[in-house]
Amino acid sequence: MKLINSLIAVGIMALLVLSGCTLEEPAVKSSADVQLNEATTQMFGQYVALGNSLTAGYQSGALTEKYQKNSFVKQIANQAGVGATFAQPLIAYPGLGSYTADGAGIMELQGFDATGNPVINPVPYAATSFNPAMPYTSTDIMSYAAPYNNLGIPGIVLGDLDSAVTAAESYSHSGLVDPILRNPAFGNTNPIQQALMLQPTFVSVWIGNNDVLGYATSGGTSPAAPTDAAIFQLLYTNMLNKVTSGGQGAKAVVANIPDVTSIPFFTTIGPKIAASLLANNIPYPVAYEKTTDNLATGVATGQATTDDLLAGNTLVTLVASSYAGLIGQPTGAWYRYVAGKAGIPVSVLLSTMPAVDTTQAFGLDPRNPLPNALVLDPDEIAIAQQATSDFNTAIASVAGQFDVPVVDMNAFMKDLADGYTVAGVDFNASYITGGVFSLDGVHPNNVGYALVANQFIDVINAKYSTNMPRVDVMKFMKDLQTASMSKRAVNKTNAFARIPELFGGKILR
Amino acid sequence: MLKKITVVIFILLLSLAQSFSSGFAIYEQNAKATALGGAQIAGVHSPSAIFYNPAGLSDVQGLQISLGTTVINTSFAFTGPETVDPWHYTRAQDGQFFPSHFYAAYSVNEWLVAGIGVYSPFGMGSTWGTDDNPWVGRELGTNTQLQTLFYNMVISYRLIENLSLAVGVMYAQANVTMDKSVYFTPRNVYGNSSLQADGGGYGFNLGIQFQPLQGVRLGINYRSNVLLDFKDGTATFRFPSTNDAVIDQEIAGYFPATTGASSSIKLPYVFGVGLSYVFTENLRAEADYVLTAWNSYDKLTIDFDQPVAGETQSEVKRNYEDSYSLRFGLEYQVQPDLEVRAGYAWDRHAVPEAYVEPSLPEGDRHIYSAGIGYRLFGLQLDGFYQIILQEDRKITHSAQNFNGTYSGLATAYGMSVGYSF
Repeated sequence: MKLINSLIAVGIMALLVLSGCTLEEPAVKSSADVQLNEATTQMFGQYVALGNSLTAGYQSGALTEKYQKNSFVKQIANQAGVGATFAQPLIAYPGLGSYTADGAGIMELQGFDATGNPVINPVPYAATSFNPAMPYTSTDIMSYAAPYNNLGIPGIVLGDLDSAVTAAESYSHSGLVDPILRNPAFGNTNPIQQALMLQPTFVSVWIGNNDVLGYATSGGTSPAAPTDAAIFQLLYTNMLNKVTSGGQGAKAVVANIPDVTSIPFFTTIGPKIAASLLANNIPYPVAYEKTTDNLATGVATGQATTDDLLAGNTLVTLVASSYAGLIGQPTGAWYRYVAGKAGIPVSVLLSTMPAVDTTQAFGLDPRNPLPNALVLDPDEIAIAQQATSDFNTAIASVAGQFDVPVVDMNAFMKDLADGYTVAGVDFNASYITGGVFSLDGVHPNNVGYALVANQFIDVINAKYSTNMPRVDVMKFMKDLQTASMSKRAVNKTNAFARIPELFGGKILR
Repeated sequence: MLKKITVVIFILLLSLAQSFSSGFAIYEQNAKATALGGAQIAGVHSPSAIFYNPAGLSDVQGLQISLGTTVINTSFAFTGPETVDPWHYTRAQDGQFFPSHFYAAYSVNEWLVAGIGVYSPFGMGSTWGTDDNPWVGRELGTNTQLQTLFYNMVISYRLIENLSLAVGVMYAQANVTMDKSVYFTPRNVYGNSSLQADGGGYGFNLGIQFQPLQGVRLGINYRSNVLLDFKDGTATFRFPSTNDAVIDQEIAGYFPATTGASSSIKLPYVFGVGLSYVFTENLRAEADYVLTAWNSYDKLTIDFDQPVAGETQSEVKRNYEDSYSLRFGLEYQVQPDLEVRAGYAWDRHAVPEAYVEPSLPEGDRHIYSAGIGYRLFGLQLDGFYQIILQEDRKITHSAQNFNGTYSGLATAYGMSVGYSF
């Protein structure tokens, strides 16, 4: 009996011990619980962001407060605990951007037409109380006494950082130079000078995209070439030298330039044209204008097979979305649009290009080819990719010289194009359905900017021993849901033709 | 009367079953066996042999029945995913499940015993987050439940004095619920999807028990694949109203409110061998090796009657791997009507690293159990307590880019009651 009793006693004790077993929970249950370390609070004492539209928080063809509040630099500032004091030139809805000259702001998706194509148009100022001459959300923003912390200016090129003072006095002639730099009130200072006025402790610089994008988005027409690689290196060295030596000897982070040919602006329309040709059993390749024609030689054309279009060997820009449906018809719709924009009769325009015969099948017959401005052909793709590669080599080498870390946005963009999964949500670089690009097909949307911010945060933390938490992308997506989804009346502007201009590209004809 | 009550109680008990062994197998099908770490292939000689090794039925005399249930409490947690927040800790809702079992066996003559069993050898259940407070992995799964019920008829035949063979047929019933969020990217709208289906399938089982020497027994148990065919299921998609008729229409165009759905899952075959040894009159031990051939579950394909987001089929790779467990049990007879038992099992994971996902947060498991058996008024009463410690599983190469650490722990207790008529 003694044995039984002791066995039972041991058994009961064992049960008591085991029944106390529960899953141990960690003390820190989210990075929000993480205390920012001294490295972070010191380095972000005064944070200034330099760059172009990507830094400004540009989306869907305009700069407006609704999206500026999600600019990736603002998100970095938030994660570093300085979001409240990070001043941005907030522009009221529907914003300033590609369509300002047409009297409209941000592009909105109004729905899908009967064939499933998205209907997208910019919101006209006439439907709102927006005043382009006083575009800020408030007078406090307008008369903010210091330069803005976010000095990202849509449309500018690398050379503008150390020279642009007004839209007129800049390489890019970007209309957004003025509302962001506010000269002459700020003593006719350029972006770098304004940044240094703030005595920055930390500067982020993402610049150079437009030095190749303008060339690419205009179909390789205007400007006729990307910035020269040697000049780029020189300008970049000068820029980083000033940024890191001025003020309190700011620490910095830079980012390189994604291969522009993988953004939806270039990858959406070509495959659609190919699919349509295949579906209708049209055996002809697409004919496109290769270079600007002249009276002596007629139109120099190239051909792109459906395979070329599907594989992206020849890219058709999003500007062509309104014209892709006309392929095969005898039409001069594109020239009517261009002439209308220039304020001349279409007959006058066409008289300057006698080799074009708009009674022929548009886009199929070499006498009425897809215009040069809508196509990035294999030669132009090679030029754009070479420029990107040269710029990135220069950025890596100059940044190394100044011991500044580089965020590899080129690699990240490639990852995105291949498909990027976050917690079960599949993102990719597809237009609209991919989930990370805004409606202009060039700039990220809110989620895209959050992913960009996280790329920067990882690099900054690794280099400077800071401990900023990443942006919680899932929470961010959840919060976005409550954003209003109202639709508004629209004007009749060709929805994409203004996009190239944002990057210094021009649609000439 | 007794029979009727038995049936009623039984139906009440057969509710949910939660994954406990590798993959979503459940090896806890009798209180005595479970107390012995599940090591029973060689030594079993009660009606629960129908599950553990039907050849063990040959020792049954007259009519015997056994009825029991297990209460399983599960806790799971996930830290991550790293792409969102490496520190983010989510605790799944605690689960409580009651897999139950019923066995009856009757010796037709001295060589032949027939038996019937009803039990739940597969199942899973996990719930992450709530509607009001959805969790970070909502697109991977929010609520997943799989319940099975197997009806198994066997006959066992004593070929010679020390060798028995058995064969049986199984019919499996199953129902599955899979809920998760879906994201309508163009408009940033989250909705919920739910898939519900009932299914069934057939299989068979075989058993051998052999006693080469006095005190030494060997056993082999085989349970075949069962192809569960889920027909006439329903998939529903619910999205909140966006207050914009155009957008609501767009969403409805992509996601039908409800559509028929069908699928099939091939459950693994199970092959086990066991050796039991009688040390003294009072002390018996057994060691088993059990293979669960989980590579049968390579993908989950769901066919929809109407296109969902433009597709009529959804395919998710599962790529499970064969898994095995090692099981040890020790039984000591304290007095003629009282036995104490202890067991240990090590159960290898079935889900490869890349395919671990929240609906089945499994990993290698150490299973400790203890129990007693007692005879009272002709009733055989068996009880056990068990603790399952799951090794933390850090995922670095998730196919869904859902990297982080899964941790889990479960406790279980249960009882079986047997009666010989």
